[in-house]
Amino acid sequence: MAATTETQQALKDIGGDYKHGFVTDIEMDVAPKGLDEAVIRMISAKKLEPEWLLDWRLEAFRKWGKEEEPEWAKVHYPAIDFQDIHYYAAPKKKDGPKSLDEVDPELLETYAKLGIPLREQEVLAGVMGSPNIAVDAVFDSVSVATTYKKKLEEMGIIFGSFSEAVKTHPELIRKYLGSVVPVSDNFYATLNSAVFTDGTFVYVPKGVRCPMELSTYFRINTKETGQFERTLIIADEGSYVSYLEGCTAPMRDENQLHAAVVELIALDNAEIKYSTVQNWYPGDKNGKGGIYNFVTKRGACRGVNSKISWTQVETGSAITWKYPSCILQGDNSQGEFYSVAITNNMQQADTGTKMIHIGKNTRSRIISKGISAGRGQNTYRGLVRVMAGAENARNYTQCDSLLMGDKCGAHTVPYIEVKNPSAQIEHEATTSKISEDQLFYCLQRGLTQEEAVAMIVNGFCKEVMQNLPMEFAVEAQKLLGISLEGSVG
Amino acid sequence: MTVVPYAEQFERLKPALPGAAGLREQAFARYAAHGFPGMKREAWRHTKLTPISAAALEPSAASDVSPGDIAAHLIPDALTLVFVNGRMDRALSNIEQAPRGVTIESLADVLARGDDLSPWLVQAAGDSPDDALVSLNTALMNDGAVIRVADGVHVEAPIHLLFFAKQGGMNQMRNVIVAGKGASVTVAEGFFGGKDAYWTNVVNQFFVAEGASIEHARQQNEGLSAYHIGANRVRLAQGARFNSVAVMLGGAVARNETRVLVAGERAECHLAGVSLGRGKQLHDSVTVLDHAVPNGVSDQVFKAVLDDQSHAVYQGKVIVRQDAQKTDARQANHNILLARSAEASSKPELEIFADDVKCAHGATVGELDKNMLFYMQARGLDPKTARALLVEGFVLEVLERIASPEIRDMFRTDIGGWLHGRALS
Amino acid sequence: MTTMLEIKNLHAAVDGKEILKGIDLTVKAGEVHAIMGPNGSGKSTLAYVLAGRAGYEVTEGSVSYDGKDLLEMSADERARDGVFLGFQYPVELPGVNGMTFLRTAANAVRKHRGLKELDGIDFLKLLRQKASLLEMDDGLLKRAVNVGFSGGEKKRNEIAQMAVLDPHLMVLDETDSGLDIDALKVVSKGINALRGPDKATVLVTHYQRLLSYVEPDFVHILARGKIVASGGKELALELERDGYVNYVPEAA
Repeated sequence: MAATTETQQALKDIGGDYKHGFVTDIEMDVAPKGLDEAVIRMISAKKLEPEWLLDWRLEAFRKWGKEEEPEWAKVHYPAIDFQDIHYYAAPKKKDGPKSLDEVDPELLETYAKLGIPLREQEVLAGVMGSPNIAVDAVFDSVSVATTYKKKLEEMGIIFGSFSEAVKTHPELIRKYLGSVVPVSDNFYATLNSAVFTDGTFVYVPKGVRCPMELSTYFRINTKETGQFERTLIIADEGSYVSYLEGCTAPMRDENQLHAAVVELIALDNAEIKYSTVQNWYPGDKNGKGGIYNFVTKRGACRGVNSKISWTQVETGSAITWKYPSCILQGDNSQGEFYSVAITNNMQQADTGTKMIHIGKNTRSRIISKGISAGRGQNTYRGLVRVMAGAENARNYTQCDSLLMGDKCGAHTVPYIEVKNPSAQIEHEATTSKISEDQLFYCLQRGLTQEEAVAMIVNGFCKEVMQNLPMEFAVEAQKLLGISLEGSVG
Repeated sequence: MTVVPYAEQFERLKPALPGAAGLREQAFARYAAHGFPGMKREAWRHTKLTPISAAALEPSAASDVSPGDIAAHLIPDALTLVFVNGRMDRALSNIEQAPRGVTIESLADVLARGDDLSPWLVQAAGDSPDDALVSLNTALMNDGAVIRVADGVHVEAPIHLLFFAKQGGMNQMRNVIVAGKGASVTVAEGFFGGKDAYWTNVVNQFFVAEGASIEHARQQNEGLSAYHIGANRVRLAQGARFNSVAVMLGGAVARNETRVLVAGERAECHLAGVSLGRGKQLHDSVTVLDHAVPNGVSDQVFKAVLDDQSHAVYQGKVIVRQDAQKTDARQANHNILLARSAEASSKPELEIFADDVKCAHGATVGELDKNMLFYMQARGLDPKTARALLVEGFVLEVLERIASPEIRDMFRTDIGGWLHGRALS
Repeated sequence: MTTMLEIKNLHAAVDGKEILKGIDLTVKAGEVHAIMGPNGSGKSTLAYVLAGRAGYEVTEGSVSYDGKDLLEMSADERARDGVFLGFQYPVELPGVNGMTFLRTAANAVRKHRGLKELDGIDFLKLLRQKASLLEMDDGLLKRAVNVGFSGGEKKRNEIAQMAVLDPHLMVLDETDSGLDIDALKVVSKGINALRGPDKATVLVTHYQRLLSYVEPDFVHILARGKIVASGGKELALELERDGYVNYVPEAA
């Protein structure tokens, strides 16, 4: 496989430093630090939002004031001063880009530096004959460029920035926003509901199979800017869509807060595949800086025979707190969660999923691979719940941990709650390390220590990686190697 | 500050409680800092305690049982201690038959004569809110057994602690079992009670010295209105071994929590449990296995068979600390639901800070295997018999871990009785 | 002929216990040497020391390979420089695809030799060519390395790797163990096919039977960490007849 060789090349090229640490110098439109009703009104006004949405935000803000930050996760960090954060930062623009020519060349340069696959840059630049990936890029908080829109529009697929969709399809937003992740679901989701600035909206109409991977790159750029995206994807009856999300952020000293909310809705016979490669700045070797990634992702399999599949490769962020979940309401619906999470140096990850079986014959599958190195702490936390009416529910869970070194930790916290006797729930977990035998065997065949580790780790993660679309698999494999640099030997 | 439950009882009762006045005061203060663990405490989230915290029960009145009442529960040739409503019944006990090298005494006697047990007793509870009821037990402990086995002594006869609750009220029992270096002993416990609502709060402390071995078997068959809160604290020295099997049948709300500190290298710990639920029973099995040093071995198997609207919980945590290299820790939890509204909750948790370890856990929830049932039916068994056999087989796997055949048979009889009372259709 | 491997007074210890107690051995290009000996004589230790396994500490002596100090090289450097160890117990690598593994290894070796690295298609060609040479199919390489392989499959896989990596010095540790006669023939054929005037082979084995298929130029008997006898292939036949009793009295 070409990817492996490229991984090793990348390992050599990078030499240990975070590859994506640069700051794009573009004029920004930034809200003053702090959060109150006035800031929320300002965000809403900037985005020319309708009254109902402003009310929705204000309701969330009031509820947020009564909520407490969750403390149950195995992550430790100094208290966040929520009044010391900019809640809005947008590149200054006259009327918003109408075509790709209007996109700031420096932005395109940024994507190039990010290592966004060349083909996708071509897409972004509108090169003729470029492949079928539609990219919606969120630069800090506002979507700046959307490609392939025309082609998608012809099929009735709506793919674009959230704020644009608020203007063009308010009925869909109003119907589905907050219907999977309620306004006051949890502290961070509630905060997001109050202050979200932009994100992605996707609607795939009945019977349409989206012919290309939809892709978004998130970046956190401005110093001390919290980023609060809001993503809403609706797959109408009998439709299919695959969505790719890639995240990188430049190097910053202060910790930056990222609290996104993603809602997925699959109606009868619809399928949504959602893939994430998260490579935000993890902080330096001593734990200085890095992103706090507190994300709420949830999908509702509302319709019969619907399916939602989450795949994530989490290599970045100082702290990752996320549990992409599936609510299996429709009979015969299916939920999947495939995860690779790496913590190196001082990184902490508390991640997993919830599979809530409500409908009959619902099925879920969880494959989680946690890798801890350095002083990293890696926790799988998951819930499988079978409600009383969920006849013949099936779940299979496999959680494997790989420890590299004796200063790190690997934790597994599965919750299984079953109220229906016809359920079959299986959970297995193992913990292991890379054995001296495996390393020596690889060395004996001429691989370097780094190559050997990268290869063994890729093997450990294979079941998850093979669920990534091709466009992401190569990049994700590289990331595994890069993230574990210097962790052995 | 609001007054915690049992504050008034403690003030009133303490002059009459046997010995250890200072220790009791300290323990009560530790309990009072948190009060009863609420359902917001992760480790207690399924265990609803409001009926016993709100009712502020009084100690059960003195009572007695007849030899006939207990005959069915006796283990042949055992050294037996019988407690009725929280007090030792000397006539029904035969501890004076203890062989050389073993002392078996009533805790009340030991405390009343002024022996200082506090170096042992203080080890049961820390400052965590999760330990509050253990601290309350230290404050209010009324009686129990103090068993000391001298170095190198192998006690042939099982030591059997039998607890009977005849009326409502609370019984605060405390047992301390110390096995000296290279010693070995079998300790069995049985809990039985009547129809009244009562609360058994029992704390067992096992100290297993270097190379020593304790076999522990626990039969919890309290009355169906009872609250049973059991806490076991086990400390294993180098090369020590602890093998425990707990069967839960009774109680409205019953909890059996076992915390093991693997403090010496090459120690071994085996924990097993069977929970058979019916009615609206809640059975909560909690374990914390703390591997602090290298080369430890632990394995856990907990099973539940649940009928009616019963609910079984398994919360098992294995901690492997940074120094505990070469630890081999295994956890398994298997549940069978027999009825539509029965419920199983499982949380097999691993917390691992050492890299050269073997840790694995598995959990399953389901109904009986249809292929097996069909096969048995095809050989002529009616469905009810087939199910009973499968359930029994499922449970017997755990009972096989009990070393003593007499105890195993007695437990098996209990389980057989439970199975015959089930519809299983 | 040039000297490829020169072992002088080699002492090695594992966990502080001396296993090799002064080994002298010279192997020239084109030669096949068999090292025979009873269990525990130090055969596998010698193989691991030559391959540079951590934990096998050389306490005295020297090993030169192509005129270089072999002991100064790391395990992977040795492999890239042409030292191949066929493992007695090939290790399982769950999830690691055999093809990926071998191509990465082959390219590491090629790069070291200044050869062009092979892309997927060229590598497949090379693989097919080697496989036909060995009369093996490449089915095993489509699976995870050694995972779920039978004993024979593991050993065949070792030989296939050896063919692709094209080493100069082949050290085969008990490659015949656990093989039935048909697998032994296949493996022997592979070893023979890879012999050449510029290559040398060291066969470490307990039994003579492999030597019926792979004819050695020299046979050495290793006992208690030393070479106690050396000779031609007739020595192996003598062992087959009399056992190790003449060399290790307690083996009687």
